[in-house]
Amino acid sequence: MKYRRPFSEHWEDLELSRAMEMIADRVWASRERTFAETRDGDTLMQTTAIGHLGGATLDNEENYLIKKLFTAGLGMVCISNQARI
Amino acid sequence: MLNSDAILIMGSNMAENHPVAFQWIVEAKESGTTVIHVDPRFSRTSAMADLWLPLRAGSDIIFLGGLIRHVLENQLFFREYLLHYTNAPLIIAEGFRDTEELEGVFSGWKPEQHSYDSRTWWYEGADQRSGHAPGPEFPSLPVPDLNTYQKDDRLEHPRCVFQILKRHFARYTPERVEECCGVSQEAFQRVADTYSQASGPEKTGGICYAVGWTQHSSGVQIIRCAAILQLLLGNMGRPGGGILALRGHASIQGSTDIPTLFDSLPGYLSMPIFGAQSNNLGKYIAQNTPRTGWWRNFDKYIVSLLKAYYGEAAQPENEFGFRWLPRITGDHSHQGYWLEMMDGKMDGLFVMGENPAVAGPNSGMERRALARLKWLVVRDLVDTETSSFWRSAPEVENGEVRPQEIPTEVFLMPAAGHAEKDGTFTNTQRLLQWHERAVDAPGDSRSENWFMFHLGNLLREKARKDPRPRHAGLLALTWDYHTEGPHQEPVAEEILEEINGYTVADRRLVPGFGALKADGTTACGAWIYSGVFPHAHENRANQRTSKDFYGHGWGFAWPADRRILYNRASARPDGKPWSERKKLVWWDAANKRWMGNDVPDFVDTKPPSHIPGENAEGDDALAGDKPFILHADGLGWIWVPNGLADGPLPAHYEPLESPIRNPIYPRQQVNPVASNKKRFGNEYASSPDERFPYVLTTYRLTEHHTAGGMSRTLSHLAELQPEMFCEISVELAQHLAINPGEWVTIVTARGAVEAHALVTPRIQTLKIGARLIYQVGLPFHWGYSGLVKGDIGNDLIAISEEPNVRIMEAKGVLCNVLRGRQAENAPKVKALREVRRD
Repeated sequence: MKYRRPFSEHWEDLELSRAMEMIADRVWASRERTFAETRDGDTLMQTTAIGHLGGATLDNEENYLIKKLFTAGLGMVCISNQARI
Repeated sequence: MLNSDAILIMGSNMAENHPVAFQWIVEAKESGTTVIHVDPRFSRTSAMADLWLPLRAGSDIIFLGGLIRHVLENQLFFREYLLHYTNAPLIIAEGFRDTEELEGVFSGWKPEQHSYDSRTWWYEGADQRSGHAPGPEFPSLPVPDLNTYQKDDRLEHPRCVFQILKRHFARYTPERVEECCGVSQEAFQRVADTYSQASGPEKTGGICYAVGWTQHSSGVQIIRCAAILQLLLGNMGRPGGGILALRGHASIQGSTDIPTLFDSLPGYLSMPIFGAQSNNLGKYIAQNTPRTGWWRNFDKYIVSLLKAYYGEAAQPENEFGFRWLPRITGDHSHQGYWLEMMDGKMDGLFVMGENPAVAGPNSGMERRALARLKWLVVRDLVDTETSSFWRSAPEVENGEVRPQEIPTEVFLMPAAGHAEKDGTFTNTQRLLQWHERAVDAPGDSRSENWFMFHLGNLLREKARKDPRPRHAGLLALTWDYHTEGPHQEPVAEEILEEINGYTVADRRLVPGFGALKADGTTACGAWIYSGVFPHAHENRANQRTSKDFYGHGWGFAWPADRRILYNRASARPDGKPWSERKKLVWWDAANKRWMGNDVPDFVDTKPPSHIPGENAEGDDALAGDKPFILHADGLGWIWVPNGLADGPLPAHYEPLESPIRNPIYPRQQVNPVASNKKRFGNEYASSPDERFPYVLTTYRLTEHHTAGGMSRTLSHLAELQPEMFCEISVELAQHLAINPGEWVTIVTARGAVEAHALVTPRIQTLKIGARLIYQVGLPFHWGYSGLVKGDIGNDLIAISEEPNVRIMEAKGVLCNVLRGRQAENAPKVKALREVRRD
């Protein structure tokens, strides 16, 4: 797979398992910094710092896991795809 | 469609974009069905139709309103169906005022809040009793009791839906259609006469639509016109009737059912909204549970979903983990959060199988927004315009933006294609079909199941080391799918089994959503799909033995393998079919159940004679002649008393940019509830605007697929359609002295693109009132990656949101067309796009 460093003009190769760790680190860091359990005493459990786009070309099982991990697990609410119902 | 006596295709080029489905239209036509196509362009669909009418993009509600008026004025409605199965006879609250009385807005309009208070749209008496199922009291939006109403079966009461409808559409005359749509009265009359005959006990008509209807600031209301027409004509729930939304991706239906969307949970359950009413499960359930109709079962579905998500950790004591779900606080849709991204408020983004750098509205702005991210993960089959925005976008090519100034880290991960993984798609017919892995994905390519599963494992590992409450949901997830193969792919069947549902105690699969409970003893990932995997080893999505005309035995149609929704309406109130010719399901008095050629979309033991008890709830509260069981009143909604943001009835508004002032409501030019998201970089033309005199519409070609990642990268498809082009009429070409094949530059308030001119009578010049309106067509498939490249059509479109579903308006946009290439036209383009200070 490919990786582009900040400010770089080209792709580099990146080993897949290394990429997975890097991505997990970034998700974790963003969520840690921005996740809020409550606001004014009401339950919030949300982060808006990380988003997801895509789904209409994916399987039902894949959409299911995306919503399950990102929303039910991580509290990401910025989830969208090609559909508007 | 073979059962249809007439088919209306509008807002769609079905032959070219749904060729496999279109074979049925061709077969229907060959056996006598009349096929009508209404569309700005003459396409292959038009060539195969019996009648083609060109119309002005954006004038659909006037045309459809004209058809509705025709049916009403000439008493062509299916009266018995109307009286029993729709809310036409119901009487509306006294305080209601129509757009006809308020110069273009309905009663309840609150300009400061940019929204409606919809209480005056309810049925008379609906506010007397709570519409909520019994539960805790809470201070929030009142829910009307829509199962308490008065009606006039003579359809004469001045405030009955039928009479309001007549007054509402009275001015949508054939003359008005001619003036505003550019359709001759004679042609309109022919369509009106033809289509309205496909009605009654012996005949039905079907309507097909696609994004020519949806991509409008009043898109939902356009579709509502079709719903009204089909209910008037008695075409819902009957063979050959219905409204088919022709969807545009392999499983876009699936991706709304099991939604990677912000505001819903699987099976069309609402995401909890931030605030006091969502602080506990009881309140959230009460808010979402009407006392009558099938949705009374809401609690069973949300609790079963929570059990599927959170397993053992979800118990009655902790409200089944409800607290771990995030609450929504605003517009977290694609366009909503993209503008936040533009303003630097987001860290990272995952993009999986979508290409917003080409397909997003105002795609130039979308690309610029990507550069504000810290990190971007793109998972796709190829290096798309989205993954390469930092090095090949037009802004980079022309030096406006430099890669050395773009900080975004980008991970480009190859994804497995559908032949390289197991899983299901859901198509337009709500049909789930399993596809099998035929070859292993090469190299680093993996499925999204693989990616999500292993990413989840890495994150859960971190959470284990930091077990604060904020990580509880992540740790609680049921995440123990078995894996297989050299790459440890999760077993997709296990995910489908979870979606189907099971009893928690013994992990036995449930046969359908009827088995789901609200007490935590069942788990189910998507109640509407329940039944797809009813027993071990019985994957109905993978069955391929069609047993009958409707295809039972091939795949699984949700819900419960019902092939035609609301099919109770295919029988008379007394349970006998409307006719032998149009029979579908009927009441078998001897066996005391509904039987027939489809799975009844009805409690199959509920007799036609069922009268609900005084305090009946749920489906029991609906009589035996009420087919629309998901509505609290069991009726087809000609009038929408609750649930739409912009009105109980469709009213004509012009698109956000239009060549004319609203001829129906001069004082309300556009849909008052639509959001234009006007800001720097997302500007609009005036309506009209001498700088942008032509009407632009965008569309698709057979040979390319959406943003081109899967087609412009394949040599045979690239060869068939190698270049971006712009379709203009013969008259416009003459007017601008453009020869066929020459370069032209198309300009809007958002940007400019260049293309070769396809001069053709396929796209027509229309007489709208006193003016000649030229229309321009652009395919949207091209971008700067792939074997064949071209300018990006969606650079011209604005970011805007329709009020109910937040779709952008990509049809009926104002443009200008200049001879020559973009570079040579640069000064003119600049002058046109200069934001006027007025």
